[in-house]
Amino acid sequence: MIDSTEMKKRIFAALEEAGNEHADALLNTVIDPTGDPTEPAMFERCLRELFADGLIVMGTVCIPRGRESLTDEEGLAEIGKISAHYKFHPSDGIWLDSRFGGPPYYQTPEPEVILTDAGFEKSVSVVEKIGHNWWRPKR
Amino acid sequence: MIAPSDSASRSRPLGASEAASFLTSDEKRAAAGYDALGGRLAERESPSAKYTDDQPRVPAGQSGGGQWTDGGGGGSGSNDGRVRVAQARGGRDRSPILARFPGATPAQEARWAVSDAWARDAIARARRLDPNWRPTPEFSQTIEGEIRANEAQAREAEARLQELHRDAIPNTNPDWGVNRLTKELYDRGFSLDGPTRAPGLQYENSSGATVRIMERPRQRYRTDSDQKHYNSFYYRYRPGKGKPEGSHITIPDKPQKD
Repeated sequence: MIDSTEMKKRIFAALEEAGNEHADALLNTVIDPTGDPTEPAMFERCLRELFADGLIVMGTVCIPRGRESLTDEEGLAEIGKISAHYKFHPSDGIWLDSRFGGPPYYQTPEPEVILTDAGFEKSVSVVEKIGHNWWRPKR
Repeated sequence: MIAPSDSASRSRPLGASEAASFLTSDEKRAAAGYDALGGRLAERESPSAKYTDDQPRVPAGQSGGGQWTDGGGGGSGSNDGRVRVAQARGGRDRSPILARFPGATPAQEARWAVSDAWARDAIARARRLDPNWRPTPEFSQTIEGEIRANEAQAREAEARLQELHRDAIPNTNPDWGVNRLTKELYDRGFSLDGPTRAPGLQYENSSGATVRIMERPRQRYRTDSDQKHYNSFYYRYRPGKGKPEGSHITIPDKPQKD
């Protein structure tokens, strides 16, 4: 399992292009999920630290309502729910937030991680130094 | 013995005499009650008579060089010393490949034309997506080598296309521009989520797929995927809820209509 420093770098690299990402998809992007419960726990810890440093904020997104921002309290509360609600799906090899069953998906607001301006600068510096997807096997 | 009528003679099987390979054609026909065809026709029936090494060809360097001739010894008017080409010529001299390989047969010429068209089409499609891509150059001394080279380049271009479209949205055409692709997303039930931080738009559908159409970034990182920079737009596709995004897929630029 990678350490939190490496996971944060990967989070920055994954968010550099779009600046936002569904929280569960972000976790599945920055690791190669195995189902180990420490994976969402470490992800939650990393997000909490990045949030405290002002590098990310939390928002919600869904098809009927589009993007909505969350207050700091709501954002922190959303981060705190990650390890409790994430369930591993062995068939797909991914973690999913069990609160949002489906299909149909994206009908109710789901949490997403959004880079702040300071976070975007940090993500640019990570990508400049290391690039994208360095943890994924080259194809 | 009753002589066979014309229709009967056409339909009567030669039977066992047909299989008797030690008989000449005339002997087989005589055994079945038919008239002899004569030496010349009997010769023509023999498969070995269809090809001979010494059948004359038009000399290299002349128009139609390498083609079979009738040998100049068969009929009247052929003993005037001129060589007469046996095949119909129908504009073969205008083919560019004949200028390089005058000995090419019509079959080789046709195969070369097919392989050339295949290679040109595949290379053009690959270069619409990756303008910097070029096939490995191939040189050959023979028309067969030229055909193989064309086929190799076509396969190389198709492999490049496949590589470029590895993580593409299923059942989309690599030639679609950004407008057609967006229309297709709406037709498939995608809805606009909203803009992304870098210039771009994100779409989602209720089956969990996500597509992010992004503008080409102004800045290019050393480690960037080339597909972000080939054209004005690229996209990334996530095939299902929570799954990681695929690699960057360039969207070919289309000429603007007035």
